[in-house]
Amino acid sequence: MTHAIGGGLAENAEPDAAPAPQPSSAAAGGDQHPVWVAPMIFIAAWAVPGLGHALLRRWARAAGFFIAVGGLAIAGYMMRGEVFGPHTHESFGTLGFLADAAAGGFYFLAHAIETAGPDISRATGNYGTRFVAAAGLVNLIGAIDAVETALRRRQ
Amino acid sequence: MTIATIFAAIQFNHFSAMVLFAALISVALASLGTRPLAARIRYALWMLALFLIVGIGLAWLMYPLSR
Repeated sequence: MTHAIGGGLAENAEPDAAPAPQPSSAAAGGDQHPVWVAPMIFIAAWAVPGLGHALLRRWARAAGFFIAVGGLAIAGYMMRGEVFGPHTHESFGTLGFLADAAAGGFYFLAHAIETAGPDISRATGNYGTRFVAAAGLVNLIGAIDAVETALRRRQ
Repeated sequence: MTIATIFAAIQFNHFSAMVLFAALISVALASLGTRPLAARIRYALWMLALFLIVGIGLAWLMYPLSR
């Protein structure tokens, strides 16, 4: 029994044998993006929740993050939660500002929606503070996921 | 009537705030999944149900402490 010189396993395999392994998704190319795109995707995803995924044509994920972040932020403002500014004189205030500002564009809507200012003397106001912070953290998760998707570390 | 006045007219209580928070967090976490859309929707609904069950259960467990 002879085989062609240089023939690979796939060429010598029987017709009913298992197919040759497919190349990995990263090597297959497709919509893999260069590394320099990652910061742009992150900034877009931060500025408008879901925009990072929308640029990658992950429409359902984009809609999910926009609804979640927008809903949390707007509900937090409606509950008159406290929105931290950049110039606080305590460490928890700084952490609060970082969490709130992570909501991107929705952070800058705070003064337009919460015209009466925060009211944390009631339980609802305290809830609102947590809603606004959660909006920022969820948006941060979404932005990181968009970068991971762009670099094909996630599908 | 501006949007701000409409928003100001909506009132939340403890339960509605908990349900809204659980629903939105469920949507966000289900969006992170890599499964098909229908499976992600089922996962979000399942997560929402668990959030509510655990939340109400913990509230009843803490109820004697509030008296």
